[in-house]
Amino acid sequence: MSDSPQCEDYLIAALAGSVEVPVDDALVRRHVGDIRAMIYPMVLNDADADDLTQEVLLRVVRGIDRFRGEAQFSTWLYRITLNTVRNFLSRQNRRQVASDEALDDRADRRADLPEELAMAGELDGAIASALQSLSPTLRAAIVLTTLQGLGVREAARIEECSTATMYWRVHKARKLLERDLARHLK
Amino acid sequence: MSGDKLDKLLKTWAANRAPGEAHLDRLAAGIVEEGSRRSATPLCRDEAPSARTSMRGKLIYATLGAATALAIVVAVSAFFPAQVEICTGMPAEAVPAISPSEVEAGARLFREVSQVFGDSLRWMTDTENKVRLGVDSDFVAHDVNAPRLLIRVVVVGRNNGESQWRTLMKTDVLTYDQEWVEAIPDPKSPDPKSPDRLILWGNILPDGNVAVDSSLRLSVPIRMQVDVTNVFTPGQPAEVFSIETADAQYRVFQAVTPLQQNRETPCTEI
Repeated sequence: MSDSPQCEDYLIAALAGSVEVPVDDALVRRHVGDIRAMIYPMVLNDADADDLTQEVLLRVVRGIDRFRGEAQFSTWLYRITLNTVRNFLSRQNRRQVASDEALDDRADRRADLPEELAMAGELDGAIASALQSLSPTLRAAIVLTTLQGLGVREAARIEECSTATMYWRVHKARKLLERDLARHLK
Repeated sequence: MSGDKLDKLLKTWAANRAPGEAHLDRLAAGIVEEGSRRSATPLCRDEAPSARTSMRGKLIYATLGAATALAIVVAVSAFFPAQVEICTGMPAEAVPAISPSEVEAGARLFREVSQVFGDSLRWMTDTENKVRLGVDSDFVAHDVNAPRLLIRVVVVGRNNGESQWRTLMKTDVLTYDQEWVEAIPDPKSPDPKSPDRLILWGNILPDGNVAVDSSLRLSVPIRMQVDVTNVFTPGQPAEVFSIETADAQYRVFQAVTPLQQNRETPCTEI
């Protein structure tokens, strides 16, 4: 996620009251891709990912005055995102598998050959199912480290747990995924 | 390594599932519109300057609050000094130090057994000279070159009024770094349905220390459930848990040390 000085200075200036920042397109556009990329592997549903991305960004903009500045902006953003997702998952409390709906522009990137399409669909389903079988806590650990590329220490800071605990979560999640995806890893 | 393959698989999947720019633009536009519809409060409230809490004011209050909290913590600590268990103060038999000869023997044993079972061997436990193997042939190939660990778990106890501690359980676990170990600690109980469990996960940290997550479920010699996470200096035992009942006291110690992986013992010229 972006921690660009320009973005942070802009927001900090807003906190100081010297700049009025509406919910404008540039601010939202800067973060919408990263936030959605983080949410989708957690909820495994496009429509829910879109809704939650909106919820997170609106929360961020409304709650920016509660950003205390003692952590990096990205850490704060990650926390809001994960907390929003966890609230959603606990409300839902149901298992979802990635929907097969194709977004218009994603379909353009799919392989042309039918056989490759079928294989890609089977693999997609297997990965989504494997992620779905992880608890939200373990799923978050994989999302933060493997998909978002964060170090274990930073992931532990975001999740407010010890580094050792985060190492365990990542280890456990990877072992479960390797087991469920063994056929595709050979 | 299967770990790299898993990473690549997940990242490729995530990239393929990501929506295109057009969709993100539509999503962003929808968010802005929704925000306006909900009359999202501007970040800068339209209030008289005197009514705003400035950043400087917030920082001053935060600093005062932190200072007050610190003062309270210091005062409480003076009345309740931190209880630090120092192993040198414990009876010698209660300290599960791992000797160099035990390290060498453990390394040799694990090496030889892993040659038989290949990458299916996950862990070994030695409880009172009864050895159990953790073998799982369903897993993907394991990195047999991963660092190896010896983790020792000791439960000692004594009845109230006694001075001598007795070793009630001593288990050595030989395993790989970052390997999940789930074993039945009681050597007299071969029943896999036994609720007793010793679950361990050790991780060699970048600074050379070893983090160990432990989950101990025992019904004998005492019913206990312990879940602890500790960071150990290699070779240095530490108490991780203690409990007192009406009749007795019990303590759980752990020690961990990396094992050498050399296939050959260096010859010493005489």
